[in-house]
Amino acid sequence: MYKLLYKKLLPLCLILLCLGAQAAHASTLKIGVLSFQSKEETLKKWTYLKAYLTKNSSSPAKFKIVPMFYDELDTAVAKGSIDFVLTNTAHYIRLEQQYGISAITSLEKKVGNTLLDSFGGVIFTRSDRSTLITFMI
Amino acid sequence: LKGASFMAVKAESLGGYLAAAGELQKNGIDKTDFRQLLFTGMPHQKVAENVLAGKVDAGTVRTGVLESLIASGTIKATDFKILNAKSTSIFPLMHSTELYPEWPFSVMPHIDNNIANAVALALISMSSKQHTKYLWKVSKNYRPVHQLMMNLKVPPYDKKESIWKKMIEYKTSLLSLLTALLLLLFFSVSLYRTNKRLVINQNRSKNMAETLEYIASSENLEKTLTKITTSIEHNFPFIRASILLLQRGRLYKGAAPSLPDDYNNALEGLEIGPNVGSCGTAAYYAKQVIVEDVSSSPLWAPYKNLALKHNLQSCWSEPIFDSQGQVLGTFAMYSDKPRSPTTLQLKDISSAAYLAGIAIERNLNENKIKKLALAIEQTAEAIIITNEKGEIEFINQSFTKITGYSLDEVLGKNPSILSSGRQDKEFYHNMWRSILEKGSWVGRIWNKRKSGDEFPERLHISTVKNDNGKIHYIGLFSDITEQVATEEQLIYAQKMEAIGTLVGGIAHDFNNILAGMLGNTYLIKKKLQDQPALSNKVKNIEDLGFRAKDLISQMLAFAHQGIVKKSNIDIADCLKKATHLAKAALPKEILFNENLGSEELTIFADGALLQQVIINIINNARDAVEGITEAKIKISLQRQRADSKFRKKYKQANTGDYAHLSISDNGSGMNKDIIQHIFDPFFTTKAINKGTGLGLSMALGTIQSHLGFIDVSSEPEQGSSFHIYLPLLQSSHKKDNKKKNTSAAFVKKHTHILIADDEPHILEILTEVLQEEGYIIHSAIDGKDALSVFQKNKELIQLAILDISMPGMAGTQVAKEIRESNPQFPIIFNSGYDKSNMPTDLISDKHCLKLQKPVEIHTLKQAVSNLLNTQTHD
Repeated sequence: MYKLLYKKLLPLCLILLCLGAQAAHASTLKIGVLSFQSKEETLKKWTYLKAYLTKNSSSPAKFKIVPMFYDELDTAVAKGSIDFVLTNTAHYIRLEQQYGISAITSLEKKVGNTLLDSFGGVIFTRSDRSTLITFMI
Repeated sequence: LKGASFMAVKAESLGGYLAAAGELQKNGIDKTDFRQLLFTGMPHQKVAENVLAGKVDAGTVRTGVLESLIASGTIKATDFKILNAKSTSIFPLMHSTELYPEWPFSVMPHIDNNIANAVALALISMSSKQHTKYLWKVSKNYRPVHQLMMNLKVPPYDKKESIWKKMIEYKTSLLSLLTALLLLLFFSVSLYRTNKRLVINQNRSKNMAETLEYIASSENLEKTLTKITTSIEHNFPFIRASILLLQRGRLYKGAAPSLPDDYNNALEGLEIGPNVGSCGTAAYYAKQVIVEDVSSSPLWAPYKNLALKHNLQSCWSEPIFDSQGQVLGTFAMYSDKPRSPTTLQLKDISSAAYLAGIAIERNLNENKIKKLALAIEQTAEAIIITNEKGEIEFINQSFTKITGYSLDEVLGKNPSILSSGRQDKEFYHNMWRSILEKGSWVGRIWNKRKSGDEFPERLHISTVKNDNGKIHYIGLFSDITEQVATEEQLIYAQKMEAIGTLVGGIAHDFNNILAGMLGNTYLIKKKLQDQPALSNKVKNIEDLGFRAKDLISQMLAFAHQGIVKKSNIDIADCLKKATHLAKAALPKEILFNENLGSEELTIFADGALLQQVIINIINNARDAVEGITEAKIKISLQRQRADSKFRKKYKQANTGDYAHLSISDNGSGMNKDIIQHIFDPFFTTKAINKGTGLGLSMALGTIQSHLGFIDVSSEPEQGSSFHIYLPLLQSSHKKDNKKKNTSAAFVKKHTHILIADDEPHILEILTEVLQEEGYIIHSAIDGKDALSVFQKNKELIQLAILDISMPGMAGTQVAKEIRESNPQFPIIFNSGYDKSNMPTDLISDKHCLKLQKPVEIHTLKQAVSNLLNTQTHD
């Protein structure tokens, strides 16, 4: 009960504590985000991160989301023109291997009521393809 | 699947191809085994469409794609079957392959560790409040993905193949071969290094990840700090680490799991200063202090024996800062040999100090917030916070206690749900203008509880801006129902007192005037007995005079100033008399229903006043049912137990039983505004000449002076009910004070009587009236005169009738003087109106009577006769 209450109160108390305490913003940290849709979509999808980090990280810096297509992201990492990278797992492996970027957190997606932190592939066929294929030869 | 056509999303896609390829490879199927391998490109849905259309034999997509297509109704679950279906606990989606970690949030190599940690910590601290779909956890292990890509020889692990190709290209030349060998060696080494780096990073980042998790969960500061020290110690075998916390200029243990207890205890509470070891000095100057050799450092002189005893030879200390740059404590590494720190160690010291700073500051903030939260929750004032749209975001317990609404019921709603409608638009307009212009508003407002009850509150609204510039409104209020009730009572009491003083002031003169008028009228009436036409007119004058007298006594009664003659009476009896009188004035078509019960309910009351109260209320009922078809007035009487509910409603009630008298009608009823004022004096809804506006005020005053309660419930067009509660006498207290039968006036002719009154008219009338009865009168015009007349005729005078308030000497004083010589001397006090009470010994004296001006002649004659009789019988 108390804990629940406390959770509800926390953000409000933060508001109260933060009244008037405006942090001095030193610099802007750029988060390069892989865009496989339109950049507007990508920007919209991840804007919450920018707002959240600017407000909640103990660093005084501001954050900025920069949507990029694969090649743009590759170039940006190579040139070091961005500070953080948010991209898919396979692409990350390449960038880690080539440029030494390193993962600090992993995404958890809410599907239904569970948070999923991993994924894989599903191999399937039409249900009437009986002639095929038992997968294990 | 060998020989089949297979479709995937994209060659580089992990979920859309690589995961499946890896799984197939494990089962001995290579991509070259397919008759055809096709890639559709994004989105994944295309693969599903092609497979279900029969264009290819099989396909692969990312987990979850099929489920969402089913959910949207695009495909049916029965349309396809899953190959190599796996089941993994806590993973609810269909899958055929190993599972790999979701998207990582990664940091570029040029970013400072501290910033990376700060970002990681913020991300893993995110709750579903901030984003409902995408949350973050400490970085998962991405090594299996590396392994998969190595196995599949896809970029970035596709180079080995090209080396072999290169080697084959150069195979003809020895030089080439050598080059190739060197290249091979180089890449092997590079591969080994990659692997090693991954493993080391894996360990370090695992440690870091755990540390971050501790900080984020912020359950226990000591545990978190211990974790920070142990992960550092883990990196360097000969290093022992400690964290000290600074409080009011002294250092206290934060965490030092590897340092011996007696060392830690000796440092506990150490005051910081310019020469206090590494940590005390580092905290004092807020600067890093590196002591390479404890045994020779002046900073350590007082402590070195203790340190050396435990083989602590060098100590490198770094102050821990909060985000505002205040020193919170120190982080230190101790080494077992005199040495200076390596670059890596220095980096780790600063990194550990930084993390400890975050952990300590979070802990301090959290404690602060907890205290604040507790205060907010437990304060007696209700607190409500809304966003800038006015939607409720938070309420505290007191809010729920006062209004009856729980958080779930009001969350997201506008505080106007509390609106009672008692304030008009202009009121709210002004309130908002004040809030917007001055940032706050304070005032009194009537609101409505969940139960529908309205209540007054003192409300303070203020605006606050959070650091995003967003406005929140904070309302603080307390229920002031009791305060308002007390204020109203006070105002009412003051009003009553003012009216009482006014009424009392005029009553004396008024009664004297009436006494003169009525006395004279009596005499005229007597003389005109043989002229009925004239005598009737005089009778009318007399009746009007008595009505004026009643009016005065009612005014006195409501102002609690009346002369109350209480005795034990049967309330049913009193009711019957009253209704008998009232019924005479009721139109025949009103159905009058009496239900007085059979129980005898005895109260200690002034029967005459009570009758007047009942008659007043019945008269009101009569006016209320005027013009109503099937008009009804109902009177009932019953016993009311003073249970807790009753005593809650009537706070002054005692525990004994009450007589409950109710008078109800089915007339026009009243609205709330009228009910509020019906007991106010001179408030009337009747036409100007129809009511005095005193009837119910008199009723209230009378009932209150009987320690009872009067209440009304009414709805417009539904009729009204008056409820009167009067305390019952307990049977043991019932006194038998049945009045002695008043014997017929027995006049002792030629008895000498002293009459003193400063009003010449009254003196004259009293004299004339009593002379007619055969008494011999000695009159006096004031107190002193009365005393001297009495002294002169001491032997003759047998009774005195004295006005109470006379100039010079009051009637009571005269009485005292007379009684000096004869303590049982009969005295009648004749009072206009006197606020000062009679001396108590006189009230209980059977040789003494008090009459109220204007006195009915009959009453006066009876009183004189009775007193003289008593005298004779004694």
